[in-house]
Amino acid sequence: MAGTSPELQLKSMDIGIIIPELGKYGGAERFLIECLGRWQHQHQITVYAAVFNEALFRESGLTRLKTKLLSPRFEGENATLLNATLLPKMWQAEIGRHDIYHAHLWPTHLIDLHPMVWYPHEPLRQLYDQRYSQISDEILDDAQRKLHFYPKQTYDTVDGRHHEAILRVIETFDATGRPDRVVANSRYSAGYLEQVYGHPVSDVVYPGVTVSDMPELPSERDVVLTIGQLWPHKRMRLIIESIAQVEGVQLHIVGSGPEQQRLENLAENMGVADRVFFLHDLENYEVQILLARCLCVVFAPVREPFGIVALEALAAGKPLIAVNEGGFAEVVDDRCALLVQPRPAALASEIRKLFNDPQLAGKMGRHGREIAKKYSWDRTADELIAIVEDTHKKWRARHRTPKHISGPLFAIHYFNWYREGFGNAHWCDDRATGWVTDMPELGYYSSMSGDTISLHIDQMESMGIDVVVFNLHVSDDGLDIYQLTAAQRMLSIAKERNSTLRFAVNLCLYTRDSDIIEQAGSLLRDSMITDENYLLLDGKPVFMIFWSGAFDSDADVVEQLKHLTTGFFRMGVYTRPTGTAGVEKRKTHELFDAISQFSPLELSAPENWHAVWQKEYQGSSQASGHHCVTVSPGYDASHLTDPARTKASRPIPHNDGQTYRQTMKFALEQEAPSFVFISTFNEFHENSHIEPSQDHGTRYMEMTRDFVAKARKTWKPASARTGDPEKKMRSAAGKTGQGHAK
Amino acid sequence: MPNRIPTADNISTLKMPASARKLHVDFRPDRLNLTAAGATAVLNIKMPDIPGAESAILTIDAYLLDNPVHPQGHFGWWSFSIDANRKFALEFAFRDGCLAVSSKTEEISDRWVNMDEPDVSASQSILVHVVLRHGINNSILSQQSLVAFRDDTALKHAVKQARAYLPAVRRDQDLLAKHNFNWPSESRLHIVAGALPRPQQLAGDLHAVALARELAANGVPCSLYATEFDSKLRGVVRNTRELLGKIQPSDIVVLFYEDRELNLPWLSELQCRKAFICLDIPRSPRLQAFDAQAHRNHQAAWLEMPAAKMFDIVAANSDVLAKEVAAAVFPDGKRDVVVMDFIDRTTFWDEIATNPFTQFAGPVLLCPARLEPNNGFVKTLQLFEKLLAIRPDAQLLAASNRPRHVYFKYIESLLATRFSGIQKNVSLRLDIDDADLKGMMQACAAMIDLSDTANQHLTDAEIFEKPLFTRGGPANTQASSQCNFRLFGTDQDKAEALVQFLKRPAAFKPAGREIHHREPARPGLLNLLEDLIALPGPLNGSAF
Repeated sequence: MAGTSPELQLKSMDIGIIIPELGKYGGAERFLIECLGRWQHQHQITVYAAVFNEALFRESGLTRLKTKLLSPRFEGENATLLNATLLPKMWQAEIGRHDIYHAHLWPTHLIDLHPMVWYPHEPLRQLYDQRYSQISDEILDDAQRKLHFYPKQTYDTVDGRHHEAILRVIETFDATGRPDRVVANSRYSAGYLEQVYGHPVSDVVYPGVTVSDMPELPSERDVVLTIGQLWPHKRMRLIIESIAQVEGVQLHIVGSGPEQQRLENLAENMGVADRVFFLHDLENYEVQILLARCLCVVFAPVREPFGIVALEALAAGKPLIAVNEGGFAEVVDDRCALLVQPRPAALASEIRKLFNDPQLAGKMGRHGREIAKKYSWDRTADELIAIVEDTHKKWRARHRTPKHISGPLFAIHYFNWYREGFGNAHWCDDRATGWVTDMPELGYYSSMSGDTISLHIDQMESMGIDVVVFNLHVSDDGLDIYQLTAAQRMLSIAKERNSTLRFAVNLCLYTRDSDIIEQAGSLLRDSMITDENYLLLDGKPVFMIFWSGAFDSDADVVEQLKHLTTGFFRMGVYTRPTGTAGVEKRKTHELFDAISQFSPLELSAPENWHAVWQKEYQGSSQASGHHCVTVSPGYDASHLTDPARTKASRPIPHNDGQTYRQTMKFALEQEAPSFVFISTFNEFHENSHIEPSQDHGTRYMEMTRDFVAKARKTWKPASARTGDPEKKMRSAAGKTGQGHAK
Repeated sequence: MPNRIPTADNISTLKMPASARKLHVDFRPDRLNLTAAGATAVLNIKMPDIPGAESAILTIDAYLLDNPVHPQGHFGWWSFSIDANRKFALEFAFRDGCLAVSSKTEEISDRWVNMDEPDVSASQSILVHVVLRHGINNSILSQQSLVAFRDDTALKHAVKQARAYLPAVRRDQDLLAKHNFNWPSESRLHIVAGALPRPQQLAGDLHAVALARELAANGVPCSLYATEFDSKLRGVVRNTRELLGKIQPSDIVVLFYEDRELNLPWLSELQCRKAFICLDIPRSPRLQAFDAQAHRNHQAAWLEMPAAKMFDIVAANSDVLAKEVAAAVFPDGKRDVVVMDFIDRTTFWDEIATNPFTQFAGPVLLCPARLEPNNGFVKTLQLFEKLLAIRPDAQLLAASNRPRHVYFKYIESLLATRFSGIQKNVSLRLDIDDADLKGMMQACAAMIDLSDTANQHLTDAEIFEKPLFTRGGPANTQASSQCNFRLFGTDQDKAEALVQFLKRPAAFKPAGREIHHREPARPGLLNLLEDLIALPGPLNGSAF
């Protein structure tokens, strides 16, 4: 395939690429790097790995990718089990939200993110090829066994008594991965994967090679080359033994690994140490130089799923002498490769044949190069991305979500009260700013408590709430880390409970310090906004900013906020009236895509509410077309002694629910709001809370539930009336973005 | 400085260290004369006496001297399975274009004779390798070479050249009369090097030969030893293992260490005064792909360097290297590594005739570094490509002796492909004589050396009053920087700097060769010898 066919081309996708390590230049890593180099110009790509090699990225021209570090491997006692079971789940929690996930190597298939295309390269060799391969002198001692997990460069060791038990646990866990599509690197490997995982593997994408990269150098008939990591299953021992049987040739082994000392000893004992060379830390062009120099390439691994070395030999115009097992056998023929039984004498015989007949080697090499031209990296990258795109397309079709909201989202302002009431600026024993007159039914709870969070999630869901808005405060001391931690906990528990709730941040800024604002923005971007349950609108994360007017016309702050939230849907949460377009342009530099009122009751005297609210509703959509309306049960902070508060606020009593009903009535009169905000769930010190309390019990929560139900009927979109469950409002509200169905 | 503890043993005789197992085949004469028609020549051989040598195999392997490759220049090989310590004679005969090797007393155990006889002209000399192989696994235990001459003129020329390489000791001179110290009359100096340069190509590797020549001219008896050297010099230069039979307790040994030295274990244990002088040994892995054996040797050279602690003086030829050597040899920091100043290259160049170099009309940028992966030639090409875009008549001239063969082929390949656009402006000159190199240095507009260090070329740049463009500073912090112009920034920035030079060479004019004649700040080789002799205690012994 020369290129991606037009019908397969989709618009740019946001792809999360996962690989355990991207530090050295092994076959799997090279495969991914070649693909990334081609994909980075078409798609937004974030690469996740526990190890990165920046030099490798630079050398490969990977300049348009984002990279994120994953937790490193466990070391020490029980590290093997933890790395095989817990680590992928930890990685899952660390990976941000993307349109699609493309994972390489074991055990990334255990990361339960979807849709996922897994390119395993090989099954876990330790389980399926090397389980019984350790000969007695390779076992460290009676008590310990060595285990190999690619791409780790050293052995794991486990207690010999528990060796089989550990392998069984890993085997059981290994089978639980459920990637949406598995792509094999050869038909041989596909069969192997089917046998191991029990799923059909119908996609095969062969690795590629770049023929034009290979330098032209005179062949040296006494130089035999092999490339591969120094693990037992690469059978370097076999190759060294075969070299010992061919007088006058040198063996160059490119690769490193824990077997090097054993292999060096072997070469010494066989009297060929002076003609066996172990080369490592080579740059890519240097490997190509060795390929160009050599007489032939010898390759003898156990059941190699593909074996990119074989293709590189062909591309370099060198005959391949290899064992007759493995995926590479599908791309070679007997005019470019000599495939034999894995026996030293058999390999030696073929090496000798070429050593004595360099012309034959040249002829085979020329034919091999013609074959290699069919397997370009362009072809590989195109074929694989076509599968990724196709998977994404099919997933989207199955989990279709409306691009534009056709009904309102019900969002509620939520405050993370922590430390059981004490130490919080707004819920404490400080009569000036935090005194509470109506206690929560739960008492002085902590928002850090999982029980509290679970209860709140239950309550939100029971009311039909779609979006929880975290009000997170940033002062001169920085982003309130307790609030952030409590919010993250709620996100995490919601995910574990498969909650349909979505979450958004309302940044409450009480500082002009640009460094602190920058830090807070970065922290939120990295820790919350990438979460799969974060609210998206029109494909963009919704970012709210509390706007009292303190930063009106402050170009520095406004421009910094604009920069911080580039690519987001920005919503102002105002406590001042919205100005005309000209006023807003002057004061906020068109920062906001939409505006909602935090406390509509405070905007004017009650007799003017309707007119003022109507004006606010009209102005709320700004340029986005998304209108917002806010309902609130009341507001009273008159018990606080802080002069700034007593002076600035106007107590609005609940009036036995009448105030709340008045705001609801207004809301229901509006034609098609995109957002209905409930202000607030639990701002007790301002008495705007609907959370069950000692004074009000569950009354305001029940009113909210009834309002949401009524509103959904009132604003039921045409599509929902057709009875198509896929297009029901609830579904649309619950999965506004492209999150993951559980 | 280490304490010296003389013993009865080392006062009377020099005991051979146990590590000095003599895996060495002695043979005489140093060259074979086959100049007369139908002549035969005899090579007298003494087999080594080491344990296990009874199973060794002696192989004579013969090639054309000027084309020593298989099979075109290969006459054949003859193997003899011979007991340890045995003395016997081999007879060489050249008749009808064929070489024959035989022995009246020993049987040939195996042989291969090239039936496609090498194309020999009348004057072609023959390179003869004397190889000792392990009797079981056939690995090479030792290898030496000599030349069989078939032409009288060639033989006489070789003898003359060998005599010029290391002139006889001037007996009419008082020992080191020009210097302010006395050479002990009972002592002989043995200079040991790994590889010695060919007679006409000394500029690149002058140290050992320059020292030997200077001492000989000052009446100091000295001998040159090496593992690799031009086979035509055999006799003037001896294999290092031959030192074992010659050294006396009062002698002095100076080892120039620039690569792995297989003889280091026993050299370090010799109970006489001795100095270890380390020259640059690359540590970079970049050599592997081009010459794995050389890279392995470099690695081994560093790994084995701690044996140098047994030497009375350890020296290096730059500050940078001295620090690395100190870390390798004296990790406890209890002894210092002496930083040795350079040898007097001015005198050397003054004595070399000049072959004028007038080939190019445009400005010539001379790259004098050896074509080695570590020496930054690909970077130089990248830079020159940008320079050419601004100054199309510029020429890049690479002058390299003993280029790394595969690397040279790689550079040729790059010039034919990636750098094809600049190929006609790049000249690679290999195996050039010192006279040609002098002509190039005089004619060039500037020199460029993008290797890690550029000490020697900095000295030459001073002598020839040329700017030297480098990418780093000199390895010697006290070396003159008057000629050194560092190139900074991107390749484009560097190219612009070179163009500025070509536009206004006066602004880059070096201070001149008088800089090089400044009072040396550090000991030269003779000062180092003076220190060695002046160490406390009797001369005939080493504390190590």
